[in-house]
Amino acid sequence: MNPPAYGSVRVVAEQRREPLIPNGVMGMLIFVVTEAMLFAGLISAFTITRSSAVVWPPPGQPRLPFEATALNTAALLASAAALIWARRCFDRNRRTARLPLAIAVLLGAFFVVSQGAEWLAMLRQGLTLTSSQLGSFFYVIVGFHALHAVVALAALVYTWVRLQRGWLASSQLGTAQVFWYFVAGIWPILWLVVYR
Amino acid sequence: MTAARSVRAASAGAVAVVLPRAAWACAVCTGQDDAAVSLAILKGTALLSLLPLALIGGLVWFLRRRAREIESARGAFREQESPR
Repeated sequence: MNPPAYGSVRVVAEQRREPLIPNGVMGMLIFVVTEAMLFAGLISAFTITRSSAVVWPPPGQPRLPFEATALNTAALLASAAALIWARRCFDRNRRTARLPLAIAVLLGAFFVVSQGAEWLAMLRQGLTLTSSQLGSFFYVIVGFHALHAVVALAALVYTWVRLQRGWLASSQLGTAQVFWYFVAGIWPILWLVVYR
Repeated sequence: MTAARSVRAASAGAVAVVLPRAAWACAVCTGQDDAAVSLAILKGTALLSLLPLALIGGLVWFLRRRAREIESARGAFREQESPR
């Protein structure tokens, strides 16, 4: 190696490696993995409690509306499908992603509002956080999911606003996508385990 | 040994015999059907043991696949750009 010469400038070309996936997407993937473990723990605890109960739902507690929630589930899955469609449009021509992204937001909002209405109905029927083990698990598990759905919906709305203004980067859409797919993907499992 | 001491010793022995049984009790085994609870615990254990492995494994698999895609795209680009 030659010593640096005085009076001259040595230009060092750094070879910088590009990340495999955008940092935002990677961060969101790690977050989603931890959240999946949270839900797995809650599902496991619920399954053990339910199997140890002699009567389920507990006496005096309403049955969860499995059939009625099927519509919400379908809306959420359709929202995820609309987001896949939005991604494909975005990769071809950004402007064409506006409609599918708006559809994804509206379907997601429908899910959140319907879940809120369902909660009110369950509260009226006497299912509260402290009324029984069913109530405790229902509001904790479904409540955590609802919290995720609201935050993910806010991220989708933010994404849509940026798309409207022409500021949306591909990585930002990717980050919102990962979060929304997690919310939509884990819901059918919760629905089948908790509601049935 | 006096009668009182004998009673005390017998009580202490009885407690010593009973205590380990209480220690064997599982906090979640409150139901009637032990088989159903055992199965639920087994399922829960399997889920919580295998899920992190599956998630981390899936992430590593996805990143390796992405790295290969990028490398093959770079290789194709270099072939295109290199003078013949």
